[in-house]
Amino acid sequence: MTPHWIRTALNLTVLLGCTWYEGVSRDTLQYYYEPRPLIPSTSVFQIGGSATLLPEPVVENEYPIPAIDVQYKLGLANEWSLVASGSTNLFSNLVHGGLQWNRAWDRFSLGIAQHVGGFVGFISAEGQFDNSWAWAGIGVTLVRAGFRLDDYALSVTGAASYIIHSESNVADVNAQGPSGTWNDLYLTLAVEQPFLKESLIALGFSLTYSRTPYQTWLLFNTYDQRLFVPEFFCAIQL
Amino acid sequence: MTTPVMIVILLLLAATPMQAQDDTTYAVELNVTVSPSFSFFEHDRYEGASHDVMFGTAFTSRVMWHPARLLAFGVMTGYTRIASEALPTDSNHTAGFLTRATLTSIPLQAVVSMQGPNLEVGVCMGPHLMMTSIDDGKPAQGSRMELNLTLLANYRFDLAPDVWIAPELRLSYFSYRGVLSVLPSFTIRYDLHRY
Repeated sequence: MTPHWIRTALNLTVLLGCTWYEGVSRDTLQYYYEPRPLIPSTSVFQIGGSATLLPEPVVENEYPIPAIDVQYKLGLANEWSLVASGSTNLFSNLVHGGLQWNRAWDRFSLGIAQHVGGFVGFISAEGQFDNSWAWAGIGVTLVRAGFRLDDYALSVTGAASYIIHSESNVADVNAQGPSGTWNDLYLTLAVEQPFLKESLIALGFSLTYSRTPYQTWLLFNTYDQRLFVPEFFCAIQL
Repeated sequence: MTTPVMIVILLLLAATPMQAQDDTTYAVELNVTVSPSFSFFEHDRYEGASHDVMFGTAFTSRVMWHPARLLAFGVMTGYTRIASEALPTDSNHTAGFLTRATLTSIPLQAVVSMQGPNLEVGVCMGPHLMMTSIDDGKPAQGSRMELNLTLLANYRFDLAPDVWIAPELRLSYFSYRGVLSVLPSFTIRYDLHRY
């Protein structure tokens, strides 16, 4: 007996005009978020944009913070891949990467990754923010699960990030930031599918539960509570 | 018991012949949507306000660019009336309800949707121009931009060549005000251009 949730997914695919289980005709497509093992020595590179809504207690107004994101995944042998991810809006820059283990069972796939990386922010605006900067060394542990349909792939990622050490210098106030502590938990939902001609597109939503959202480094965040930070993203695979 | 029946119905619906929209056809689609709206306010609308659901209406239109595959991008605008009610003039409600407060908005949003042969599921993101007016004989108006997130799903039926009618359900959330609206809607879709 097929479990109920598989039947629900089946209903959805039928509704979206896709045929169920006619062989994975587009099995050759390789996506970034979906943790299906890559063919060794092939890679996935995507570039996109994101908009983050910072929590109201910190910014007092709902301005989306934009950023440019790049992501890279390289297939190594035996279900392992090398992953790197970067995000920048000039003032806040985040780079992390590491190893990911992937396995697929038919349409399902699972990945577990450990990344290390860093955050750097700097701004020098005359008067108020002369020579302000911040940095952090981080570790990120991710678990990804994917489900491949004929015409698209769905995936969910749960991740936790750990700040090894951080420091900031804003308007001549130098301070050690959170260090040796788990800082963020986040959940990402992504839909990946073919788009124009041969290109693939990833669209999604990410919800971060954070004590110190890295995009707020410049602000005097005295609000020492965990806050929700939603983010929308879109990336084109080249 | 109902699930197999539903699957059969859905399979039949999915197998219904549709307008040629194969893997290479690009389309520009116009959707016009009419909706009653039922809005839930997270915070008191005014001191001592009831927690009634506010009834409103929405007229929106979106133009979608739909290249070949499932995904379509577009823009949406229109006019929505979220709430309109008479306010008590004093706290004891003795002087009657002489002041009328109205909350309307103009959506200015980006839309992303996925379309199968009949089903469309989408999300609208971006600001609404929120307009409030209080009229106690001397009307006062104010406006500001606020972000909104709307989820939509519709199932369309052929009406005429290039024209479809679709019952549509929308959920709309204004985070700043904490207003959640449910909009059971009807959409008419017309394909402006195919290439």
